[in-house]
Amino acid sequence: MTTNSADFTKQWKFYRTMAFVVGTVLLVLTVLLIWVRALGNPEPAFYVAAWTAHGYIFPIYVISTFLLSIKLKWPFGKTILIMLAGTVPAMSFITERRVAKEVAARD
Amino acid sequence: MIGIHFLGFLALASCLALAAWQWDRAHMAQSPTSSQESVPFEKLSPLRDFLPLSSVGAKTKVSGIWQPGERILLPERIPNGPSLVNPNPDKIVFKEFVAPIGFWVVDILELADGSSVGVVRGFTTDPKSTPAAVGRAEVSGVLQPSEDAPDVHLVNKLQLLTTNMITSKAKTIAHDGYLVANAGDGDLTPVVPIVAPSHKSKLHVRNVIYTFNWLIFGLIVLAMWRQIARDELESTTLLENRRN
Repeated sequence: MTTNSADFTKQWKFYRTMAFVVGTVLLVLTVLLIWVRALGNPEPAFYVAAWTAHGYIFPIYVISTFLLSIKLKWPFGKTILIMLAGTVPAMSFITERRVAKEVAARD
Repeated sequence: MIGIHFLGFLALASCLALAAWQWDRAHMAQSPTSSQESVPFEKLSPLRDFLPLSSVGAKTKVSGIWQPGERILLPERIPNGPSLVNPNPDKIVFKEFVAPIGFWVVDILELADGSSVGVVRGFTTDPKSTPAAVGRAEVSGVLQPSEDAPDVHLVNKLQLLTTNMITSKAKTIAHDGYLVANAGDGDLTPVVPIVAPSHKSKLHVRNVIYTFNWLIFGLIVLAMWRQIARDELESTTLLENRRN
């Protein structure tokens, strides 16, 4: 197990950062989506650009999850589930906490 | 091991197919509407899909039965659609129109195949006096995109005529976009469509971005596939070594 290595710390930080970024962006965009679609308000100028940007942030989150999964030797199903957590608003925060507990237990 | 390869192949093929689909969507086909002839509606507006850009501004004819009681009234409109276009899409522009300012009257026509299409029947300043659309009708008109489409920008923060709005009113599955009737029905003034047909090819940047998005997912799938296959091979080899 290489959980103490600098390499692992780098992957772990990368994953945590991306989980936070994806979670925050998705949460903000979901609020905006409700604001526009459900409440019938006009789309803000950055609306489309923000969703497009999210489309590129999410793959980075997927990469960070994949790299961490190699280090922690996660099974395939678990890796996919943690990746998919980035598509559910706020779920990446919850997942990140669970992974943090797992990492702490392994250290 | 076969399962891993099957899954990897399937995921990669899906990513590539989706990338190809987005790439197709990014390219606007040469408009078939350059001719003045009316094109059959089925060829122009596929169900369960976006109205192709090449169909925007196309002349067509539909026949069906009006869905009673599902009228949409769009306020603060004028008959000349192109005047509603925002010349500076980056800003919210307010234009003052010379009277008459009134409503676009939109009714839903149910077609023979069971699908529905929103029809802008005309313009009026007095919607209460406009008789309800009833019975069978044949409407010649021009196809228009949903007004929340990326290339459509209107002035005055107008209430938009969107496919979502038509879908919520239609009793059956609705086509994307809407039809502007050539001749105003009854006392209605004919409406000039907002978007004219485009005669040249155009690349849609958003779809190009989505294409690369799917290619990135494809690369991730490829990396995961390689890693999982390698792990599987390592564990199999280890197991065999232990046995020996």
